[in-house]
Amino acid sequence: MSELLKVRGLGKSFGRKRVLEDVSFALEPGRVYGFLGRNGEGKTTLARILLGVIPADRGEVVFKGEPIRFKAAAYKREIGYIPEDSFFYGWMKVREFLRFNGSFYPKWDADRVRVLCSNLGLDPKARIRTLSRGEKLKLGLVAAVGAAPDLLILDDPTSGLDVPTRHDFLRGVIRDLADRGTAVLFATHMVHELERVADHLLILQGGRIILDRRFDEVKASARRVRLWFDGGAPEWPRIEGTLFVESEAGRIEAVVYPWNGAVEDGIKGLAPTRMEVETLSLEEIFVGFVGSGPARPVARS
Amino acid sequence: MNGQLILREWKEKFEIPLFALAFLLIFVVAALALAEQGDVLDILTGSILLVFLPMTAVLLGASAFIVEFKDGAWAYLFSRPVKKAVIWFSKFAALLMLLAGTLFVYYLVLSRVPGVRERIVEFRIPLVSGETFSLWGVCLTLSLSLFVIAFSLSCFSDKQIQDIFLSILVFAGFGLAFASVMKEILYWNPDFTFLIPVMWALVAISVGASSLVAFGRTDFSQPGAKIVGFLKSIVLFLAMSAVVVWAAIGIGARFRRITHIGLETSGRNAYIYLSRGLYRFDSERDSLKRLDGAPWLGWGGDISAGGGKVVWSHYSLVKKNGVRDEAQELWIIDEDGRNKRSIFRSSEVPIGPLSGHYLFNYCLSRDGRRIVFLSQPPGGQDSRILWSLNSDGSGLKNYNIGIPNLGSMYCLGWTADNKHVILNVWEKPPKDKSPQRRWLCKYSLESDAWQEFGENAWMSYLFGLSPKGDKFGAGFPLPAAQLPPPQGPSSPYGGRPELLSVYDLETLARTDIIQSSSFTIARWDPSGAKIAYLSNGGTRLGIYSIAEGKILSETALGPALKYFVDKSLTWAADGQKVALSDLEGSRYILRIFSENLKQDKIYPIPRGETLKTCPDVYGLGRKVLVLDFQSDRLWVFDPAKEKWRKLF
Repeated sequence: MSELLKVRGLGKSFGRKRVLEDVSFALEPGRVYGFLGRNGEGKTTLARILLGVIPADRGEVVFKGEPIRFKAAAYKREIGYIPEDSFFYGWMKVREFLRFNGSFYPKWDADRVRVLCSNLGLDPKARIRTLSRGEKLKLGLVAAVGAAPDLLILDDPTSGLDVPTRHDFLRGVIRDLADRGTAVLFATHMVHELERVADHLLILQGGRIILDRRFDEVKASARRVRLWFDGGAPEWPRIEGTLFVESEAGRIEAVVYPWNGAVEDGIKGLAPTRMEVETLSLEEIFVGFVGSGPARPVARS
Repeated sequence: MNGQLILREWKEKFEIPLFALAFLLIFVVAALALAEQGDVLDILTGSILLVFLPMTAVLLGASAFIVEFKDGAWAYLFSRPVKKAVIWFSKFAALLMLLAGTLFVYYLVLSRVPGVRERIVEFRIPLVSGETFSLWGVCLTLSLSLFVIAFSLSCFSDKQIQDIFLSILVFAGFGLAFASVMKEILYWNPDFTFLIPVMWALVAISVGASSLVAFGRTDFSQPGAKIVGFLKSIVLFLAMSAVVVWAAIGIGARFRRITHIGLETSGRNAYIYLSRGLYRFDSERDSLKRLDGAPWLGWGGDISAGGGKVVWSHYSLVKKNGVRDEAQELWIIDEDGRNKRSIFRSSEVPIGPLSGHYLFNYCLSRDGRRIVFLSQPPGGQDSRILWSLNSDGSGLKNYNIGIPNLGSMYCLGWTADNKHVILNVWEKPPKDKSPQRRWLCKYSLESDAWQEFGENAWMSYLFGLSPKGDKFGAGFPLPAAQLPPPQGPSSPYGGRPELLSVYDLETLARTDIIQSSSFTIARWDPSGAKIAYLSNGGTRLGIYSIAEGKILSETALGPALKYFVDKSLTWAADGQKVALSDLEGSRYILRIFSENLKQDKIYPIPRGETLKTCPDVYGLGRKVLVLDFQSDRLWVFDPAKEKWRKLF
């Protein structure tokens, strides 16, 4: 499948602080990309660079085969954005804001916007400043989706939504958009939510993408291993893909990615008295990757 | 620009002009109620135009990006598919239209309220230069400048009040900078008053452009980066603006309004001294060359040419050890435009013998080696001091002229030996109301000896020194008994001389040469052998030969005006012909006569029908210069080609 967006060697510093070191990845149409990283790792910065809100210090962003310049604007017609906190003009009414926002997008789908507003319970006559945080997020969502974008960037917007709305949003809107061919870059801290919609997983740490894999592959290849020994536990061998190791008297717990025969053989070589291998939730995989220790080499699909 | 953005801006900021219009209503009611109290209405009107409206402008400008900052909506706005420049321009246009609309409504209303209307029209804000600006003009300048500054700075500050104060500070800072440019560099020269709005426009453009560049280029999430980006841009734009202003001063000097033309001829060259610079017109080559471009030429200056050099003066300002010294500078240049140098500078501060003196009446010696000039000491009124200076700037010397009862004097030029000068001397006015005594003086610069001659001589300027400096021509009145009935106007310098005389400056022997009625002008030919003159109040033209001691020819010119001299006279075609500016009907013409006074031809002087006074004519080689000193225009006429050329 052809790439919709390609990011190569992107770097960004704020003063002396390097937020993005060397970020490279690609997005394909019709896929939902779960974008994970700890607080302050640069997810919002990356989103803003992709949107041309702030400039990158180095690197290149290519959208639909065309390099994006910081000052360019036309490509943004094809990108929807829902920020972490929805900041709109408080004095505007919902209907007024949607009309204002729609004026920027030639593909603005007014009918769909009307339906979405109705489904999400947004009152078109309400002033934005009177909306709750959740309602503002819904408004941001409608504004982004109404533009019928080819790429939708979500910067952790769902934390303010109630559970039913979040559920509708993820299953109804995001999945629907992806099915229509929109690539969705979904940055969130609610990792478990990605399990419902994500096709692909990107993890950002230390200014680099340390994981760039299909979601089902990650799920299938990550394992937690628990080993018991008589007497003291031996030293954990140099096993490639070890994400996490914790050792205490007579017991070792480790998270390994990717799990394969060679890894299993290596572990068995420790001759444990008992060995348990189990699959992990996405949250556990994420913690395994970013929980502690230095940034790991990039694993690419 | 984007219509939706403009509309949104209007909806968001309409309260500000609405408030201003509500205030206008209150003001109108107050103005009508206070119509009888002029002072109060003065203050109110001034406050509205000079304080309230500019403050409304700064408030509008400072509100530009405040919502984006306050609501954090900048990230939303910038992520829309609109170029940042479009966002900037749309906001700017929207707010400017609100401001313009407010100002327009104020203009419409205030120009119809009785009492206020008259005050606005009558009251003008004076500048040091003497120029005045209308209240509306100042209100517009203040409002637009403050608006642009506040708008531009609002991109960088999330606190509106901070932006307002900063804008006022920036405005005041630039205002002070402009005032010091006008004072220290341009001396409040009225010709450069036009630079004040130009400088404001450039500042507005610089601040606006810097804001636009920083807005488009820099990272808005980084307040420090934004400000650094803005500062970098504004330094560049202000430097470019300074270059523009500097060029405007230089270019403006070349096209400045000419308020005075000083003219001195030497040989076949004319030296023209005016506010645009010092020029040499070479009549042989028909070329005009700019010898000096100092923009202050013609301002407090004088010119003299001779001995292959030209000397002139102008004011300049020097700051030394923190002391501001505005004084005259004396400059000299070779006729070919080389070796331009300042040879002397008077001073306002007490550091030299000429401190605070006004210098004038420069006269270069015939060999170009020495300059005499007069100075008027501070508070000296009519008192004059004679000085001399070598043309290399050395040997400054003042002369303690021992003439008793000396009232005033004027130097008419050097004698042929380069050792004496001829002074026109006025004694102090007598207390008994008898006529003030006036005479000529041959003064030796070597021995300080002086010889009196030519008592009550007229026409010292219209006849005077012969080309070689060996003779001096003057006119004298005849005793009353010998007077024929007066005809025509008196000489431009007064009197009705009926007798032309020539002094030998070696011996001071006087020879009376022609007797007639009311001589108005007499001119030496370039060789000093003949004299052309106008007599009978300017109705007769004659030529007199010094060598032959007789009138060579004389002719009637037709009637002359009764109260004004309507003719000027010069030798033309290298002394072979006589040229005359004359009034024919209602237009001035140039008449050229051959030596036997047979009229060659009549040439209409350009715009001659518009002239109210007779233009001066100067023969220069084969050409004739015509100086319309009424409207400061200088023409050159080539009789051979019958072609006019406007020099200035």
